[in-house]
Amino acid sequence: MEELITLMAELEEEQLLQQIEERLTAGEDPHAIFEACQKGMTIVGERFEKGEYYLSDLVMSGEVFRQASELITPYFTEGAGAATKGKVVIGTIIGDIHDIGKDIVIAMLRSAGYEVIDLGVDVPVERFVEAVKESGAPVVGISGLLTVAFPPMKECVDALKAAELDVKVMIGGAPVTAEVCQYVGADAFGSANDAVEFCNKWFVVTA
Amino acid sequence: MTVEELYNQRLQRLKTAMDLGKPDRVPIQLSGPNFIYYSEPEATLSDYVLRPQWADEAVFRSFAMLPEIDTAPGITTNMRARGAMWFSKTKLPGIELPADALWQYDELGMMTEEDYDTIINKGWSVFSKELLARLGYTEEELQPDLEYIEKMQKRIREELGRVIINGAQFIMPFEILSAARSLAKFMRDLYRMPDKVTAALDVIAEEYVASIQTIVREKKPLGIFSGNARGGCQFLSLKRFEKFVWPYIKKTSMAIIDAGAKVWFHMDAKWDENLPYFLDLPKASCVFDPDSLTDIVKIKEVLGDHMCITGDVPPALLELGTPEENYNYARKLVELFEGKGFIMSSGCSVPPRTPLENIKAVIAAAVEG
Repeated sequence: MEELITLMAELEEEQLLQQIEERLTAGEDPHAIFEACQKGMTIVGERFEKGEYYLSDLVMSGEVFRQASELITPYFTEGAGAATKGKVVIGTIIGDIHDIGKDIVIAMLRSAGYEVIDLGVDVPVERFVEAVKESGAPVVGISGLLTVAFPPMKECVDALKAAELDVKVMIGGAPVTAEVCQYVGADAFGSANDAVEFCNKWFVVTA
Repeated sequence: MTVEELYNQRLQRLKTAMDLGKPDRVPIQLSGPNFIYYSEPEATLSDYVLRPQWADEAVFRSFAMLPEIDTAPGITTNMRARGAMWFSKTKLPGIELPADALWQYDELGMMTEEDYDTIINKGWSVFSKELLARLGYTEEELQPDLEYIEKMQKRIREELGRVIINGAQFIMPFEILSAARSLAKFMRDLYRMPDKVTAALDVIAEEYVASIQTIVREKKPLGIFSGNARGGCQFLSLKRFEKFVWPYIKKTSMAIIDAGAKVWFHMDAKWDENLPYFLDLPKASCVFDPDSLTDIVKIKEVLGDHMCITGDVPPALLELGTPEENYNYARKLVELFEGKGFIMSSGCSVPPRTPLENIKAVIAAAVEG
């Protein structure tokens, strides 16, 4: 599987997808193949943190991983899909339609083994609350690229608290700073890779 | 002092800073959707859409309250077609978005992989018209109200005495393709079909150069706006920047400079690692206008002796910070640049809900000298 891990980490799209197809057809364990892709994505995240990879690489990795998952998933036997570490609700807050950051975070979380409930963009506060109630997800991610997103982000955190939902909230977006995080009342803020780290920390505690 | 004298004083102040000199005081450039509220507190951003001329009058009244600002407010025209500049659909407050949301551009990525060949074979201007039609824009929507624009530009000079710096806006070739394809697809194209991408970028840059020369010759503007956001070190490695971004920024910039105008580099997102490349351009021929995500101290260190720099009060600070915090940040900028080759500005445009007190605090820091 080392070769698959390397191909994923190097973003060698064609070779990786070809190898996955060949291995699946040959009857290799789809779970092992999926885990190899996940390990490759972990390396992508580490390289991004070190400054060796850039946002364009993260976008590309999300696309390659999505295609790999589409190839592998039909080979999982019913009821024995890829194990997930837990559920995360994510959306771009009402009044903001930017999706790039949100989609990168989703790709990174999915590749790290989380089940992501993507609410899309321009998401009303009530929808976040409903989604948490419906899914029981213990983590919410709120994205926003515009400063006009700050007040509704705060409303969202307040609404989750008012509904007495025991959730951790992480926020992200270019203008988000520690001060904004404090204003909004979120538990954490940061980049796509930070989102994975926050979840790894929170899910260990809450699991 | 008459309005004309004030205008000339402001113009001289800006020109001196853009030529890397030390003007009588730091020039101030502040504009954005926030200004509607200072004279009309009950307004919402949908007023820019639903009653644009009323909105412009409100902004004019706000500017009259703030005579220290040297540059012009924006003029509200063709709100529905704003996204066309980015080959995107426009979502407007009060229509598709809540009444007080900011207008935004929905990148639908309607340019296909095959369209690279259309650009290469038929040219950018032919293809761009085709793409705008594909996005559903009508000729009528795209036609600017030139009579209104001219009237307002005349009033900006004759009533407000403010300076319009840029005569035209050019979104750089890399950025325009990334918007036309949508970011995610375009980033994948860089991997999958790099040669097609560069061939299309070559065509766009060539056509830009011809347009730039015509505009600068006819309008003789102080500057030309060069829009950049996704070509910097946050998105791309330097290797990719050198292949897909820098040659086209350089080529269009040299066309602007050779035609006799300054390049106004509007630089959203991070450009820290890319700064040394800008030293290739002639001294005192550009303005570097960051949005606060690029380290202003590093910009000063690398480019401070080479081009005028605007700085860069962060949007979050303007909207959520106290007047004291804004004043302190702005004072640090004045001290960093020692009032030379520097224009006081917000990082990108001033965000909508910025309190007037914060604007006044930034102004106070600049005029203090």
